[in-house]
Amino acid sequence: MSATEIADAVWSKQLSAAEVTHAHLERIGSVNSLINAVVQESPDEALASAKAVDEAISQG
Amino acid sequence: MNVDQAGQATTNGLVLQRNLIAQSDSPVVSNIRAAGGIIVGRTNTPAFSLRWFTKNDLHGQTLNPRDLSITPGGSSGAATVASGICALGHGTNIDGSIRYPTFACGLHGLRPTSGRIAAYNASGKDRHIGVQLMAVSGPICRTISDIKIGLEAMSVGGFNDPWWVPASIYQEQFPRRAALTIATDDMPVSCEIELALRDAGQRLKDAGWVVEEAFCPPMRPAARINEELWMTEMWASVDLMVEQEAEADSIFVYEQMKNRIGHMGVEDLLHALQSRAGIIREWQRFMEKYPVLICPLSGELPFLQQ
Repeated sequence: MSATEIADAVWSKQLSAAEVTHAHLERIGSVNSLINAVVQESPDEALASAKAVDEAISQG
Repeated sequence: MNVDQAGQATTNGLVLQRNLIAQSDSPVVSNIRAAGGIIVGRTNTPAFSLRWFTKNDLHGQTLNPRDLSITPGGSSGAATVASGICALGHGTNIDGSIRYPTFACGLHGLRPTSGRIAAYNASGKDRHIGVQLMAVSGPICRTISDIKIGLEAMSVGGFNDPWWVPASIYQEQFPRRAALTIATDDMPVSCEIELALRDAGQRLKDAGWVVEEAFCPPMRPAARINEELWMTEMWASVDLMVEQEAEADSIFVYEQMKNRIGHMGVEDLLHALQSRAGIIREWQRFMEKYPVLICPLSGELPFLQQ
């Protein structure tokens, strides 16, 4: 999915930001050791940000 | 790794800066967060963000997910987006660090005009005039619509950056005319690159644009000034750090720059800035006629990995 499609899906509540973030963190876990593209990870911060986005959307 | 994100080290790929923890977000990071962007990780950069390969003594080497045998370019934001680790990347660019990695990883990258996207690293000193004029931030994406939302999000504001201007990013009135320049200056261009450029031209024609083969203003003088301004910064503030960091590749590149440009004094700097104004004027005249230029980012396919 493109960023635009993801943003649309999250705004329209078809996906939650938390689901999208979990998927990307899993992707880091599965491929990053092969290419070493991400060198600082902050999964807790990312999940907290996702939760805040989901709360903001649910409150309109 | 060269943009402040609160709580994370702004290493710039240097062992010397492994503990340089940012206390606040750069405006570009704040803007991404404010738009609902979620930062899943920070990406690699060559030491001093200086080369077309991504390797340093602190974080190691990054590979290209499309083809492990070629360079991912200099910085790993594009490798991250191309591998599906994130949907939208952020990169910084002085001499091609958005453009070349997106080329090497088969993506879209936008190097915006200076002042379009605000940036400020409170973790370090302000940089000198040359790099202030040249360094920009921009989006790295898989689709053009993502470039649009990336630019919209990143360019929102930032009064911590004195070069940032609150100008609209939307320009409706411009002639639908593009120039196609296969070989800028006398640069040899591989047949794969030429075919891709002609394909891009044809797509614009199909979309109703006028596409004309034309010579754009020469790029070598501008590239020379870019290197001179960068070299001025290196002499003034990075010279000792290169020695202290003792990273083999950046020492090699810095030596090459010293050999090509030599020492930059005040008069040399003034001459470079004077010539820069004339070159920009020449380009503005060209782009008044052709708002879009299709030209090679590199004459060669991506370099083999080191």
